[in-house]
Amino acid sequence: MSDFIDRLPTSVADLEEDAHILHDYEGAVSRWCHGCGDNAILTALQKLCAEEQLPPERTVFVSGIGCASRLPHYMGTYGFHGLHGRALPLAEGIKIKRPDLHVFVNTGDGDCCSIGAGHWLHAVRYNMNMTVIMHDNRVYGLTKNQVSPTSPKGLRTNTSPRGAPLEPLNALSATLGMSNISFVAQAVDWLPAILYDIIHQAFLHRGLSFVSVLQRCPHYLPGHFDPYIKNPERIRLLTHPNGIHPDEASFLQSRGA
Amino acid sequence: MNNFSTGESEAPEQSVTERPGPPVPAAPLRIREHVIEVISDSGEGAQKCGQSFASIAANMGNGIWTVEIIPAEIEPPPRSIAGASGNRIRIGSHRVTNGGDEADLAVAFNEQVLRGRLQAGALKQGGVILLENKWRFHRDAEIVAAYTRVYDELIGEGYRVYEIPMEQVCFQYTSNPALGKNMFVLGMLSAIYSMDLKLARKQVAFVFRTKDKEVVDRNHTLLEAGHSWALENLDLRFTIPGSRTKKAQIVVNGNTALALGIMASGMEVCAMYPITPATSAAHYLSEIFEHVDGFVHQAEDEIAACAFAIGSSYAGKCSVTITSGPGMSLKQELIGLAAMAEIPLVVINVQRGGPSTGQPTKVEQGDLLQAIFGTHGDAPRVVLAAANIEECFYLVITARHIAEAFNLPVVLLSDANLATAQQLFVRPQPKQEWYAVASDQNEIPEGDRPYEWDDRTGLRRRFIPGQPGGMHTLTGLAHDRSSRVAYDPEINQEGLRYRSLKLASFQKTLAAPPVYGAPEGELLIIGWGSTRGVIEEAVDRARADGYAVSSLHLTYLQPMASGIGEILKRFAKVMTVEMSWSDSVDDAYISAESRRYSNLAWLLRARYLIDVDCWSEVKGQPLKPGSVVQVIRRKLETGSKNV
Ligand code: SF4
Repeated sequence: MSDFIDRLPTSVADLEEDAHILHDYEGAVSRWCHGCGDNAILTALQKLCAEEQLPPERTVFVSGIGCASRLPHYMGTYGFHGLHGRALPLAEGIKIKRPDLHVFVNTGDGDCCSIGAGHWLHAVRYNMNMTVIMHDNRVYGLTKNQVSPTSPKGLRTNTSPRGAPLEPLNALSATLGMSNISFVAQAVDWLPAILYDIIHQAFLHRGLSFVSVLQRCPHYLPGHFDPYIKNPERIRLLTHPNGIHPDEASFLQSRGA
Repeated sequence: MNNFSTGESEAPEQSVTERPGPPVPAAPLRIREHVIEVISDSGEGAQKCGQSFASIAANMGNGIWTVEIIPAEIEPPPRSIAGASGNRIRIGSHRVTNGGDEADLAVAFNEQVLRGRLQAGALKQGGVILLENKWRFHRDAEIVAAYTRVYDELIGEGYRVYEIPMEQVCFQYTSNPALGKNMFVLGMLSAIYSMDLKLARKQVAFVFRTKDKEVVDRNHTLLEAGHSWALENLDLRFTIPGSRTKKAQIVVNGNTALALGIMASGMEVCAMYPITPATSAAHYLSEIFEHVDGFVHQAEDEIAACAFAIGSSYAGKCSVTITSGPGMSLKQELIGLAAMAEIPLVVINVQRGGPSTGQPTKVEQGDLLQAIFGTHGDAPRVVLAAANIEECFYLVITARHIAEAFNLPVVLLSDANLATAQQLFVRPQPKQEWYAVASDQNEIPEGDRPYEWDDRTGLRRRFIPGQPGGMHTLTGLAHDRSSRVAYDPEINQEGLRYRSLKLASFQKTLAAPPVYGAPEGELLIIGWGSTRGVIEEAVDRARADGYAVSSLHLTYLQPMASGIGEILKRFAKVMTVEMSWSDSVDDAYISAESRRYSNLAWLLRARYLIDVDCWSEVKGQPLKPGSVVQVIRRKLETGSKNV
């Protein structure tokens, strides 16, 4: 596979290239619902690509199936919109063949924690250098309102009309429980500065970084995260010596306080 | 003291020294071929013995074919009928293409595993049996009784049974004869078949090449002990003249050939999940692949293995995933993705008995239709099947070429018979054009689209990540030429058309296979996969008996070459011989309207509108040429429309 490494553009050629602007990372116009949290994640990723000047031709966004998995279509990079649950093994195949590519995975809570759960745990073990963003809206959106493994107990959906019978799966603790885990974080879509910082940090991390983003689904769960949005005191910023260090002002500002 | 007997004539207790003298070895009897079986409990080394014997014969210039006899369990209880483990070896003066009919000679380490083989109809009536006789003197009276009963039955049925004190003789050379008697047996067989003892010594040194000198020496001693014991005590001497060639040849089994083919094709990633009988290909590949920058990924499951292979194909050269029937079923959705998104992919299916878990270690050809049609929707792929060990090697290279030239999944079918069978073939000399070329990383001209389908061929240039200007999102959803999700009904129709056209374009490159036998006649037998040698041998025999039968063997099952329909028309009757289920017309409720045909027969009937009959057997054993000769006779003599 070394022939690919040999074929990387030389740094001289890079210097002659024009700098990439945000527009270079824009693909098709997003078709998510108005107010959908996926838009915030898309914005953060486009900004990250521009900030890091990732060559669009050497960046691949890989996804499964679901609302979140539409994201690659809206990027101006290469994308692979795969099969329900299978984003991670597809991404691993890409990365093993082409370590020179920047690989991102966008997956939903159903995609990652249900139909693709086996792949999720093993991807953490393999710890390949890629950034995994789980868009956790706590419900199945694209298939029209079914219960998800991260739905809170009691949530009424089309397949749980009397309320979800089980406690939700905790994706963070499950990920932390895997051997070889190297980066876990949680962000929320409505604090864009923090969301960006966390995704940026995840990108810089060498190894697999897993970021769960609490993502609003105004279509099926309107107001679901309102208790946290309306009362910012209910959000705690967990810090880590190697993590992000926003100053107090920007934190408060980003939560609209 | 040597306790042995040649059956009827002598009491087993009688020792050699009391005999008037060792049997005068007659001049070796010249024979054209023999089928030999070496069977033991699992772990006693009969497989190593049988494989080594085949290699020695190959080095003597004989044609060989080996079939592994494998119990379904790793450690079946000792001395059990279902526990037979070992090898069938067919040795001939000529090229050997299959495991043949009933064995002429069997070596058994106990009488129970021998019973297992007798029940399977593996031994020739009245054949020679060399039987470990320690059981006759066992302290457990039940074992003695069981042994004696089987022995007496065998004698009664006319077998030539030689009781051999294998362990007893081995005790003179080793404290643990259970571990060494397989090499004693190898020496015995080498003497019986007049093999060159020097070649046998070389083979033993090769088998134990990783062990220390002491082990090699001990096994050499046992080999020689077996050799001289047989010369002194047995009146069995054969010679199967071989012809040594100048060309370097190799002896490998089908799975090793697949692994070598993967290397020779230039593929770099093989993703798999352990499944019998495919896994040993990955074992071998894991040992050697890294030397050429390759990588074997043991994924978390079959689905992930297929996704991993597709991901790596998408990002560069074509990759391969290797599996067996149950894994094939699981991969189908992803094979559909590769077809839809037009990503090259090679899928190797080493078929086993099905459905469900079926018979993991046994042979069957039940996956042809799932290989072609197993995915929901229309997901065109090319399907080809290896007919022998050599093809397991070369067809991987062909499959990789087709996958990349046409940007689609290619399924290569092998089976449990080929997986473990060994055959001799001319050592391949790798050529530059076998390897995949480095992936295109050039800039895509402005305005070019990732699915710029050619209206005649359906082909298009694949964009690979790293190519500036080629950025697009590949998807399993219906998509337009720019790979955008299609909301226009015309576009779905168009995409399906182009993907289907690619098969027609590929079909243009195929030529109909040659007819084996006369180009026209009474009966044409059609086969595919590992049954080729068996069918052609049966055709030879039937033709020698005056039957106007020929055969046709298909490598490409999807699409099929032009001209096959014409061939079928030149024969009064056409039937397939397969190892996949078909209803018997003798069953009360089976009629022309209810009969379910075996895989290939279905395809031929649908494609050529000819009343193609079929005969199939799904006993998990390779077909025997003799059984196929019977089928031909029945079909031609009774004048019956369907057998
Ligand atoms: S259904 Fe929910 S998650 Fe899907 S696009 Fe609409 S708001 Fe977003």
